Amino acid sequence: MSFNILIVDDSNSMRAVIKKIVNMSGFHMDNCYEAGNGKEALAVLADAWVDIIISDINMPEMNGLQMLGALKENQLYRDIPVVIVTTEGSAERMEEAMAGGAKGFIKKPFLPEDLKRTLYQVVGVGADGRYGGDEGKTGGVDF
Amino acid sequence: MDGTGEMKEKLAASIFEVLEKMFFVFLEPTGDGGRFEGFSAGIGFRGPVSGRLELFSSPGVSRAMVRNMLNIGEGEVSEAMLQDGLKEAVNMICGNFLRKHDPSRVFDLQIPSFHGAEETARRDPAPGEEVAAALGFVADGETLGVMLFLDRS
Repeated sequence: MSFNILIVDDSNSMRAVIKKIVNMSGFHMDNCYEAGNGKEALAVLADAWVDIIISDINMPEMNGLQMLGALKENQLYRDIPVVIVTTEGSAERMEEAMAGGAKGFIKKPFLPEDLKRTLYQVVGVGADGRYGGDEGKTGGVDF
Repeated sequence: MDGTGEMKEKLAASIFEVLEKMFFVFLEPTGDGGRFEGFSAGIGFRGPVSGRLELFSSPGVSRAMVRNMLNIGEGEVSEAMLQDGLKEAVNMICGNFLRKHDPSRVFDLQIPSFHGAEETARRDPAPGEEVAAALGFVADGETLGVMLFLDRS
């Protein structure tokens, strides 16, 4: 099973790092779309099928929390799992993101393993690509 | 905010964590307060305490950060990558420091900005600000400094 991923971050460098980690993690990625903020992400979603979104919070024009709100309001987008990757790691901000519909939360700076583990948990696929897998048992991916 | 010593310790811990985890740059603290020059990037924050954090990085460290983060060669480092990398670094240091300072409180981080090497005024406190910490580091003979300014009100 392959996934279409949308990476939303106003930093080109961070988008490149996340894309690289996803590629190296053995996660089966079909297409990787990129957006610089929530508004651009919604424009991508209007044109492309996306299975999972990885998004920052602190972005210009439309931040990650506002984007979560917009996704929730749209019947077509509300079930797309969103993983938040951000520097804003207070308990209250985390709760706000999860209440807004985020399925995972990673604090920057992060290790490649943190992103890999969260992605697999969110989509319910093991590192071997099997559904319901436990990435802790499968291993086999070296960074 | 914490006492000065505790705040400096937390800020230093955040700087080490971000530089090592994301940029694979290993710093050593300088004993002389550091040199605050080179490229700079800054970010403001609002919350129970408000202020701004400024990162100053000599060209060598700045380029090494970008090379390591993106795993690219020296010749591939562009001006845009340099600016983006330093903005992301100051963003992560600030966010990491604030959650070390008080994980139970929400701080709003502004969008980070890059400043040219010639913009030395970033080192001076603006009216209503005070310097809460100024930490200097070296890595392979290159310098990196971080200054934390807090609003007095």
